[in-house]
Amino acid sequence: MQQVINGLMLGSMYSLVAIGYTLVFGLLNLLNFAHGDVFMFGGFIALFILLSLKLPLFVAFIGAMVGCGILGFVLELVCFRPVKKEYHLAPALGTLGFSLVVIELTTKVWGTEPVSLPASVEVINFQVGNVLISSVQILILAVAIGLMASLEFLILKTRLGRALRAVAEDPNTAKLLGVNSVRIIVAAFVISSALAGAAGILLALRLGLANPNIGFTYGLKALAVMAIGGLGNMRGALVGGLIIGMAEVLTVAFGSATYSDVVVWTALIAILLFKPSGLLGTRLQEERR
Amino acid sequence: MEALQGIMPEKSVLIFMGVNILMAWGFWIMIATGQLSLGNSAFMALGAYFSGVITVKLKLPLPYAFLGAIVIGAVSGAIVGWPALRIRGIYLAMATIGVEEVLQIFFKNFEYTGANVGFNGMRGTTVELVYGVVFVFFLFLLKLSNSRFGRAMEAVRSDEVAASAMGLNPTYVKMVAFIIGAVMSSIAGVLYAHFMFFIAPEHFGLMQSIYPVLFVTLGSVETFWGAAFGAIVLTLLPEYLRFMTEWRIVLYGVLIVLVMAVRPQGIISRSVVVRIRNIFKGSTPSRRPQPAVAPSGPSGQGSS
Repeated sequence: MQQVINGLMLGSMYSLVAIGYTLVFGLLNLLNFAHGDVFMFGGFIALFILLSLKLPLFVAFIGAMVGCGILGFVLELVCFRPVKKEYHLAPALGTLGFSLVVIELTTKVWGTEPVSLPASVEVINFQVGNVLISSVQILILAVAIGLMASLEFLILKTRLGRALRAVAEDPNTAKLLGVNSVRIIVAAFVISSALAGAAGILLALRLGLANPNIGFTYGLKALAVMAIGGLGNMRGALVGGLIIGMAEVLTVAFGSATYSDVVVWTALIAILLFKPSGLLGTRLQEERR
Repeated sequence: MEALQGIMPEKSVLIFMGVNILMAWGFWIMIATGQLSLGNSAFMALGAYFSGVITVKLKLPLPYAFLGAIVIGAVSGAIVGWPALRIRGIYLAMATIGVEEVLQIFFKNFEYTGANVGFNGMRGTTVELVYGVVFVFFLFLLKLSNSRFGRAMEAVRSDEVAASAMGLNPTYVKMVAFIIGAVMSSIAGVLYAHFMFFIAPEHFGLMQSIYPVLFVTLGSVETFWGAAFGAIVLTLLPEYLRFMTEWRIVLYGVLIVLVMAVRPQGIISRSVVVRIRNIFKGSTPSRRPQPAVAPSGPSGQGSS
């Protein structure tokens, strides 16, 4: 039971990051390699707000999301917008360059070692039966679920969401019908980065520290999660995240820690080979192959 | 010589440059048939470890290590490349990342080759050897790009269905290209290991797969010249930027972003190669290919 809760926690974090990937990928067919580092940066913004400005946690949350949103905007501006449509690989590599810059600047400011969060963030533990749940875990779950629910609402019920879906389905037709696709793309980058920022602060809370090297490992795993769920499919990313989080925690619990990553990657390879559209892949994912 | 001290790169830089050129070509030949592999460091690792076992554990001379690397490169290339024929584009990229990660974990736990601690004892790579190998592959690629098979690769990349309609076998072409790329990466691994003396699993992480991608995109996906150019520039650049050690990675990143924004087809694209060739031949610009390559024109000119 304890493991299930840990798995949920880890899984919801993966889901948040993977949904960010998915949002951009579903829209542009673009792998955003900088996403993992935007996620990492969220943790550091939170650290800055908590440690240097000594503001409460919820301000740190908003700060991380806004800060990462801005970062996402800049990312779109420098890596995606100037590149012509015919070149598929170029923007993806541009994001790779961007991520180098983000990591480097972060380590310039905070050093290359993980930095601990202040102890002022109180951790209260609850005992339910024989399961120990900390307030951080509750917070993580609540925030993750809240964000995913609001994103779902945004995509399905609002004007912006409709435009997003239209551009994802067929950018040209959407443009003909009067959708401002440039603005939509910016919105996708900002939302996806803000989600990554939120996930970044959640991870920092969970680990009790902000680590500049984390973007790569978590970014990669979230990438795997996205592919397992179905590229560009938001619910797929959610389900994929939970499955991977669970699988990882359970292999650590019942097997050995060294092989938890093997499980993730072999699952990825197997999915790609036997059901390339992903677990919850739809026609749209099938076409994109 | 004194005067050249500051300008000529050190021996280690030259060797890394050769290894990087091989890695870039290994990636290039895969992408030249439309296969985006982000797992070439896995082949490099296999070549490095396998050859290390041959020279250090079995105490055989270096040529056997190359032989072994060719075999392991071809076999692993076939094992990865065959199922990978089913998937393409970004999916293939992810599957190859998966292969790379799994192999990384394998080497981290494989006691025989030192697991996490690393594996040492390999020696024998010289600058001459590296550039000998590079030259052999250069001749090979030069011959290839003017051969039937080279044209078949191009046809498969631009349109697989049309290529098969014209009687080509895309599966065969892609498979062969993937295997050649894997062998090249594996040989790069041999040279790397026998120069470094010490190798550890983290030397062959994902970044080692991504560098070739950077080389090739900076240089240009269209020609193998571009791939080599990218490898040379991106290896030397950090060396000459050493005076600004503090900021060189930032600059590196900014450079990549800039090149991608301004000249997404890379610097040495096909039109550039044709233009340079014409300079040497002294022929008129009328032999230049039709303006289909023109989009690289006005916006790209200023930067190059």
